[in-house]
Amino acid sequence: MKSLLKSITCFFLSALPAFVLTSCQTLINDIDPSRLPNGEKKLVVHGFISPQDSILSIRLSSTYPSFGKEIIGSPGVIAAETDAFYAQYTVTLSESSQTVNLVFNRPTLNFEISAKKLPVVAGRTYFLKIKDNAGNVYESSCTVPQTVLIAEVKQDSVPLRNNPTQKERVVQLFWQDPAGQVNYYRVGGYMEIVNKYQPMGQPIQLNTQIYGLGFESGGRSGSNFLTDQQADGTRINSGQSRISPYYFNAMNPNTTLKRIEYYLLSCDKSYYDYHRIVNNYDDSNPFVEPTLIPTNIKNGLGCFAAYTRSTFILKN
Amino acid sequence: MRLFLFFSLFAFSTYAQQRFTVSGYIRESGSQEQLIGVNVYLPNTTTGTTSNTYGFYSITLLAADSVTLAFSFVGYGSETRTLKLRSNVELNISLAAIGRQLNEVIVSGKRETDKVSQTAQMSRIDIPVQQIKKIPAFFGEKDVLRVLQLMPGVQKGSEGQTGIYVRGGGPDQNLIILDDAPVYNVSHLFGFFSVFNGDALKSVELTKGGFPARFGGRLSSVVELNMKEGNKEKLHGEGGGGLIASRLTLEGPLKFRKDSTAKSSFLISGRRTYLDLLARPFIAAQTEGNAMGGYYFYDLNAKINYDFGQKDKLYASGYFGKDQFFARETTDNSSFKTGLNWGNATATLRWNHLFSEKLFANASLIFSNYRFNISADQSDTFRGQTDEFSLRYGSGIRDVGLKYDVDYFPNPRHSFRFGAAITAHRFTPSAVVVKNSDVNLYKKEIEALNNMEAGLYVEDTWKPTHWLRMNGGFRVSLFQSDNQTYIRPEPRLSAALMLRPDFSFKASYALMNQYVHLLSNTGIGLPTDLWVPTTAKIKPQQSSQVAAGFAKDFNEKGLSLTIEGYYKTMNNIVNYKEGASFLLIDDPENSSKASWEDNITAGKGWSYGAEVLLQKKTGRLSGWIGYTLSWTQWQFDELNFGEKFYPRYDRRHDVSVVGIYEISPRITLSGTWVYGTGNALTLPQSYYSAFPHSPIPGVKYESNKQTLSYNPIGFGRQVSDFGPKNSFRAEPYHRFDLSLQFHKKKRYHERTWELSVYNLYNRRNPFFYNSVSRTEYDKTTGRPISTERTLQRISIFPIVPTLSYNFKF
Repeated sequence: MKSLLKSITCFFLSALPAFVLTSCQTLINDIDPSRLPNGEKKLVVHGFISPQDSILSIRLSSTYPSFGKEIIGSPGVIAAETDAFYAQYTVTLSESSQTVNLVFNRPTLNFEISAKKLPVVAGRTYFLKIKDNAGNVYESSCTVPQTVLIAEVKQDSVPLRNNPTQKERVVQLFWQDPAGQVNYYRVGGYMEIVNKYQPMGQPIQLNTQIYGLGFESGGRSGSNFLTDQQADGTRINSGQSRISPYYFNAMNPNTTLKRIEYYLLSCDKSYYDYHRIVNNYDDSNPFVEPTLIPTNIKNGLGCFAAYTRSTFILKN
Repeated sequence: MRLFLFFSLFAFSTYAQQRFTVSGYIRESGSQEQLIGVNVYLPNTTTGTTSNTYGFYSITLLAADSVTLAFSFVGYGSETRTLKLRSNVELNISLAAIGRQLNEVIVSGKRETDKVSQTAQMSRIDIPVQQIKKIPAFFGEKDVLRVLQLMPGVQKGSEGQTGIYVRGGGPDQNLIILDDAPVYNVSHLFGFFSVFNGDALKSVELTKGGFPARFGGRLSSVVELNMKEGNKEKLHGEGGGGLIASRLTLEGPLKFRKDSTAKSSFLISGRRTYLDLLARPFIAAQTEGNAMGGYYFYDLNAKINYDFGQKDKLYASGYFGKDQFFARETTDNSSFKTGLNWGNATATLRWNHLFSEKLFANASLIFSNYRFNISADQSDTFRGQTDEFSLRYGSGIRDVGLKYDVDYFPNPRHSFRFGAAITAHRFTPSAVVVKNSDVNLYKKEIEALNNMEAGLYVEDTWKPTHWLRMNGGFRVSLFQSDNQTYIRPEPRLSAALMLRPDFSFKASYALMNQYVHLLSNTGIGLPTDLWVPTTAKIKPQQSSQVAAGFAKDFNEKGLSLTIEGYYKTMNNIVNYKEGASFLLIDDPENSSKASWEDNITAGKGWSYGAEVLLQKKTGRLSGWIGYTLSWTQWQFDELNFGEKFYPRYDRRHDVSVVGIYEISPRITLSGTWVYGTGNALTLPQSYYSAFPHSPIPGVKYESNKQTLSYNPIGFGRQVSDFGPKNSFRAEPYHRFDLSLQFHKKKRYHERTWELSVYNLYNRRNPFFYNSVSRTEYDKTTGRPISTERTLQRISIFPIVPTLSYNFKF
């Protein structure tokens, strides 16, 4: 018995380092492709319509399989789809008895039509229908929310936290929420800046830049996406938007702040859900369950939604 | 009402004849360890009772000149006593463990007891600790929870994890109590080992349905662990060492006078891993002594008791365990030190008091604390100036509780239990302190939350006729949170209908409430998992479960067979919202008392299935075969767009086969084979650009002129289409383990060499999946031609042989 034990022990003790050495590599294995999701192609549709827009635009694109081989440089997510891809679709928008066809415009990559041909009016429902050559139909609809006007814009100058001699501007938007209905909002804005510069031996040139502004600082309402949950029918305030003194003090004679525009979008639920999720989308954290992106496109992916816009121009 | 009527009628019909009570304690001969669940009965009748958690029994019988009582328990020799019953009798019994000597072979002949068909209780599994020690162990570490995973209705999570999933419930839905104290995090080393040291344990019992009313507070199971009291006869030791850890247990009598019998005894047990000690010289050598790092965990169990006599006994027990990761690095002008640690501490003080031979009471004072801490300290010296930075993060839960339980044995047909428990919880969801010599002190602490939980119960184990047994009970649970008080009634009932002497039909119903919730991103028992209370916004979780089945004993073969089906609904179960994690809870800019509540979403769950268990507890060949067929589904309004989905650990088929064979008194061979359907996971199916709406203009360049242009479709962001949540099934899990134990009795001690092999046929089981992409390059130009994306399976344990040494004296 003793010898049996000894020989078994010896066998395992000598085998152990070999196992440890060889196993490390073989512990990672590709799984059989037949088990993988096949990633069937789906049509992706995006469109956001509003009474304030002059052109109605719909973007079509495609999904690409997450697994498998792909030739670099072929049309896909980074490169635009081919003309042949767009050519196979007919895109129509309709409202009650009125139906219009949208036409593909290569420079914008959108299917477009002038808003004059199909006016977008608050309270009305619009139907999107896309057909491909194979007879597949993709549909969606949205109802345009009522406009909610910006009631007040509060602007304040506050000393900078790390440099109290300088003051930044803090802006907040206020509006009256319509009572008795669920409302969804998006707030934001942008600055138009003109920079003066002079390349060597050339005349002075002007360069226009656009900077987006968010209302993300300042407590619980610090988000660009808001609802009237627990605040129905009340006066709602946005979070705070901060503008650095760099853009408006005299320190930078070559930078001119041409205008600031703030907007309040009153949007439908699809718009709100889709943007909030896409904005926070993060697939890099292995400890977080993946986020599923909502869609309201029948047989496809993407978002077709409506909003109305209220604007406040601060400086012109 | 009807029940009350039944009770009253019963009381009237039985008061006439004179009755006397036989009561006492049942202990193991030698160690004097009190034995739990020993059957005490009149042979060839159905009249009987069982000893309680403290080894106490009481049976009231008709007066007689000669009464024969039998005492029996699996793994122990039976005893019978014939006595004259003309007055109340105090009768303490010692049972001898069979094979306490060399081989520990549990050989027993036909046994009248421990028949699964005889009790009203269903869905309960008890595993003899001795059997746990014979089953092949992972890295030689005998683990109670790992053995429970081998039972039908109980599933493991991922490879190597000790978390248990009972009938579709998560690891947070198990009430795991060690000597009455709840243990909040049962994992060491991210779940690869459990905190329970088998050497210190006396008994382990799992209830997965038909819960008696004395238990409450969790939805899915109760795992009751009792520590040994300590040998009252002589000093006894047990220990061992394996690949990962070593352990030592000492127990013995505490005598105050040399000649007297011991009234007191103690037990102390410790375990520590030593990978850090082994690695230390190598790390030091590689970094010239500048860096140090490692990981270890340890457990300490201690218990002491004092016997004041037949009427009063006092027990104090405690557990303390910790996991510690650490790293530090010093150079001439900087130092960096970081640590991650978590651990539980529990303490219980229990007082048994016998009011009369029929009335036994226990009062417990209970403490339990779980803490998780991260620390980092950094100091940099540059041109004589020192910059210091330090961070502390902590979360945890602390309980202080009081519990009073009474056992009342009026006659052999009834045994009542009633009692009350009250617990003060203190939750610290998160506390961060950052100190910096530049920015001074930054401190953000989410206010600790204090809550009170209470329960009041009564239950009766009732045998109205010889063909019907019942355990009926009622519990009222209460939870105080903010300004809201939840009071919930919880009816419980289980019954066994004897169809034949060894064949019964059982059914049960239990309604359970759970007031503490675990937020987990992974479900694998990471220390970052966070316990939070019920609040006005987060409702208590609730489950109701019906189970029914058959139990059959095959006496000749020593086999028992149970077949059970169950249906369970769960309400208000909680989960993080998609994309949320404990790190978001702790966003320093935004944290407020409400923020962690905003990251939580509540939903519903359904679980149903069938379980088969064929078990042989005694004989040269013992073990069991278990099979589970089950479905679990969840529905959360805010997950998977409100559609139902299979949670990660939904498992269609689960099989375990466990065999222990005593080849000879000196050699034990054991093996286990397990099979389980793969986990349900969310995998990307395809990717695409998600275009957001752009409400702001862009700048357009046209023939050297800049104009503002509007395109409502903004720049796309690459996202994945996952299809429905958890729609991908991982590959099935299966594994075979084998163990060979060689026992030998030496002059002063007994030793066991154990050779075990984990995953004998070297199956590459998935631990997790990772998607990778490989780029192919043109050989001449070096330009990339194509990329191939595929999914990799990461396994962690190939075949792992382990040699360990165990001894006892």
